[in-house]
Amino acid sequence: MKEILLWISSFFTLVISIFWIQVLFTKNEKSKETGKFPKVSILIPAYNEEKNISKTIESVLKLNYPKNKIEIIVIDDSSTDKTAQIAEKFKNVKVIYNKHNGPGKASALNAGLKHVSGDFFAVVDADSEIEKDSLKNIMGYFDDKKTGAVISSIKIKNPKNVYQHIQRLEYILSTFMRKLMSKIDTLHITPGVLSVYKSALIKKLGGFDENNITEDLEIALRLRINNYSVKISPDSITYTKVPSNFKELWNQRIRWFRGFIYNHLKYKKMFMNRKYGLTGIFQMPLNVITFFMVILLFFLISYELLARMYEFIFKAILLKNNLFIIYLDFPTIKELVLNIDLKLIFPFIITFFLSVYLLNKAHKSMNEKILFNPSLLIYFTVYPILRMMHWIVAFYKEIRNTKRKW
Amino acid sequence: MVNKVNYKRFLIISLGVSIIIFTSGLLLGIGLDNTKVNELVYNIDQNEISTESYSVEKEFLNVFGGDKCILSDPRVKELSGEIEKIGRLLNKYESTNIFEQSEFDYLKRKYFLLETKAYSLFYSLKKECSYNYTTILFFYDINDDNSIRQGYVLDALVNLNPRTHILSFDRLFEEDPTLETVRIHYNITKAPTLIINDRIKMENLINLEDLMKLTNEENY
Repeated sequence: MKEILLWISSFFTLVISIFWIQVLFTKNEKSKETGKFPKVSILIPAYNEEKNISKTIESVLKLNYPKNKIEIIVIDDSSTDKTAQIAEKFKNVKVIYNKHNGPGKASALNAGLKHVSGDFFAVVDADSEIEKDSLKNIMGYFDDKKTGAVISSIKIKNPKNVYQHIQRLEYILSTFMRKLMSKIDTLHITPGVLSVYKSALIKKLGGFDENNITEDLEIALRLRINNYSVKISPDSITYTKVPSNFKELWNQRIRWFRGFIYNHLKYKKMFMNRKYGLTGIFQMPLNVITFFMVILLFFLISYELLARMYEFIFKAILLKNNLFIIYLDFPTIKELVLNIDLKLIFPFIITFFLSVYLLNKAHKSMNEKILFNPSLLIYFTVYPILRMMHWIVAFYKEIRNTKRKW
Repeated sequence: MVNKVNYKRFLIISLGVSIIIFTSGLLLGIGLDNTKVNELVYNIDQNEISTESYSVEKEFLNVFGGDKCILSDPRVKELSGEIEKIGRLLNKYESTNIFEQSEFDYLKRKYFLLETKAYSLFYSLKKECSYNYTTILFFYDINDDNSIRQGYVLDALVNLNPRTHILSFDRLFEEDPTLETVRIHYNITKAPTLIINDRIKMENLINLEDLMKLTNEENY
């Protein structure tokens, strides 16, 4: 049974990896230089960001975009620090106050949306920095009338500790995946680091969902269900700050994954529905299958680990001080080779090499180098277990319907 | 951009390539399995000849006179080690289903006969040449947790005391009358059961410390 499940998951992973490799070799959709600079309102929702807000505003002010075509709106989301005072010191920055209990980004964005005067608006998180050409590069993608939003390529600036190095890798891979999804027109997230939307369209769709803890996923899915595209601009580079310790990372991921489950259920109508193109017939079923495979693998791995631990304890009781003597029987190379179960291992080996290839491609596409540090090893060994645990806890909390919080 | 036609083509290609990779893995696996079986058969045959060679040599010395104990102790140890290794492989391969049942029963039968022959040889050499090694018959049940654990204890014992020879038998194997005779002789009714030097019978799981105590006492 265990072998069959491993076979199925390995077959599935292989099929999907080969699929994405083929997508990788299709032509990139290029941003068109239209020479037009439509007015863009930049919304910066901020909650207790006194340490970061200045840098974010400064990076927006440095944008290579006509200054009279940019409107900067900082939405102070009931901060208890000096975020608003710092933002008010900047010329040409409008600060509005969103008074409510506790942080909620969607409500802040909706408050900002009421003040938007541009044909387009961008959301920039208050802990982000954007490169000067990022907005200009994004705007070319709106030439296609069916484009509802365009997102940027996110990087992590100067990761310091192991948590941030792991997330650096994760962001490189997820941005790479977003590029591939954009190619098959199934991209369904608009992260807050820098995403640009059509103002009238979002207003028509009712703004951001204030009861949602991942409003960036929800709004993208809402665009999709209304048959609008979400695209990525590979040349629009932005930088974000990421959690630097276990607790922060854990809370962020639980929130993301709960949002994933909640929003996939909310938009279940799209599943296997041809009306929504490849998002409906391919991407959403793939997301759900992947989710269930992660859960399945978690239980398989946990069962295997527990069984081995149980056996180890038994061995320790039976052998006492001589426990390790049974591990001294090293097999010969011939025995080692003959012991391999090629039927199971061979597809794994191929999948492993394909993953290494995709990892390399992902780094190249972001102009980043593969860093051979302990984080790389942790990312491929310990971190998947942690991610599985995020999924399990998020799934459990969603089933129990515990309060969703930021 | 990838349109729906491309998407279908990509998916079909992915499926096709994956099936090819899996089939290749399967074929390579079958090839490797055959190598494993051949290796095992070869090992059993070799050890059968070695045991036969001992017996013939012993008989020759019996008939024509000479020092029977010239059959050196290290040769017995070598043979015992080889037999243990084959037993381990047989058990491992049984759980991976690389044999057809009839093929596996045949190999098992050959192996148990080889063990029985070796056991008789070890016993008579110990008696006649006063060798101070310990011979343990280990009766196990397949997929029985306690039998598996007893196996670990015996592995550790051999590593700690190389003058211990383990001969393991599947208690429920019914394809061979000789094994039935051994079972009846020692009245084996459950697994794991250990017969130490033909004298001590230990039923149920026994830990390393107790087993070492027993084998040490047995050799004094």
